[in-house]
Amino acid sequence: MKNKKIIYSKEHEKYLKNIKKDKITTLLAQIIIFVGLIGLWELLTAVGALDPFFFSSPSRIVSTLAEFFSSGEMFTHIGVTLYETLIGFLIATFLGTLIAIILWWSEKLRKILDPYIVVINALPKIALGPMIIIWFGAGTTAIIVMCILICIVITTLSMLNAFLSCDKDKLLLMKSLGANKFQTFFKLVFPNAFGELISVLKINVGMSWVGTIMGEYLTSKAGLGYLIVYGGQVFNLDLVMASTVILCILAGGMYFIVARLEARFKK
Amino acid sequence: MKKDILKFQNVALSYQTNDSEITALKDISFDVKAGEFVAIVGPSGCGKTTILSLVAGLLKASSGKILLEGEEILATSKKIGYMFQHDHLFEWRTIWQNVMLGPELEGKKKSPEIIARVTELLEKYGLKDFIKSKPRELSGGMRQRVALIRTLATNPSILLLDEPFSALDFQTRLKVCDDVYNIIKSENKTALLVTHDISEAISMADKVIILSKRPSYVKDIKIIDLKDYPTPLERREHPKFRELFDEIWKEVQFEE
Repeated sequence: MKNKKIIYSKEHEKYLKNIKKDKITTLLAQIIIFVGLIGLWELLTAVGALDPFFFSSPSRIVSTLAEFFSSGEMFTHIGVTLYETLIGFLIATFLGTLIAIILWWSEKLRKILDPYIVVINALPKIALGPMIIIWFGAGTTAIIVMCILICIVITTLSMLNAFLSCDKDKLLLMKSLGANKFQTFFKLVFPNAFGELISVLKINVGMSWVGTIMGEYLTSKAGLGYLIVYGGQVFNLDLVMASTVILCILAGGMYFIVARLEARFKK
Repeated sequence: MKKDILKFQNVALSYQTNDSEITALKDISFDVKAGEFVAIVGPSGCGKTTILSLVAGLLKASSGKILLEGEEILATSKKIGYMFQHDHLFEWRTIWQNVMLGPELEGKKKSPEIIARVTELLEKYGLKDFIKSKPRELSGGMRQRVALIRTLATNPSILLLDEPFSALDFQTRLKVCDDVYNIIKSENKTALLVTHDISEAISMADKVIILSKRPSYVKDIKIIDLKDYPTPLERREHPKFRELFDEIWKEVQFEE
């Protein structure tokens, strides 16, 4: 469309105005809640209604953050956690999809493995923590393995489900056009499940943070999870809260990137 | 005398379920000649689609013979073009990539001969400007035309139409019915249509096969001679249309 000036009717203008108004009020409410809660927190700790030793306070969080960032220490911790999360996220997504492909390929294997998958899915993966530490040693590897374990089952199940939900007539169409199984998968089943892959990525963003922080709780010498556990042990609630704030920002940012990716592919 | 493209000789089919053995087809015999448009009607659940699955080589007959161009059908074959109730265009592909799916699977995506033929088909049936569009930008009728051209791209000997219009609303349906009929006729294709809609069968076919209810056999074969009216839509106005409809209606109805 060229630079044509579109003239809207009064009704339409009103309609657009209402939508805009609605957006603004929503945003305004969000800001008010945020500022209000932070302000209330600061106020209550300042007047002594809440003990900042147990509850920290926004200003103390800010000064802790400033201190940790200026010494450069925070960057190390963020780097460690981000590295573990990203590696875990990528490996889990890739492996989970690969396993889903194998299970889609062989119905027999799918049937045989079904009860095992159900049990592994139901098992709280954190229970495997001690085993992981013994097998992989206390350190980064164990944390990444924990992260992968948390993400991989849900990835496999969601992707398999998406592969299997492919329309029967579409499969029949491929067959009638003489497609082999390989072609059927890569030209129909996989692209057809692409939307599901994106939503699995979104779920995995959250899950991989859970996995990494859990792993860091179990065993770590650095990272945001380490800071939180350490802060808790020495009753430094400022450190706990500051690390949590950084976690929120990182997880939100990663989710945002995936959402942008989705928008780009959907276009 | 035109040669037989498809021949069913005393075909029977039963399949197994956990509870019992079900005889779907008892005794089916008919033939389809080159260039002929044949419709199969019958009460619901009488195994109309089963017949198409047999022709497509997706099922095997329990007894009897099915010959496609004189050869027995043993597996899926490229001589068959299947058209479904829904167009099943792949949303992530452009129209061109959709119609070239068959040749692509055969590794003939770059064959100049096929490219020329497909381009000509798209041009002839008003889809040339949409080659780079995605399916969702097209109307229901256009999508069904694309689906038909996708089927024709592999140059099959016979087209199997499995209720190809039943997902469309009535207005579109009459229009698409005309479109599809004209394309099939002008490309000189042989077609086997399965439908529950008797007027659709009469308006399109040269011959209507009426099946009994399950276990089904061929109850009657009606030759439809409305050729003085060229299109399916016009044939609905033919003086003999009503009469044919009533005859077939009674035969199908009597079963239920």
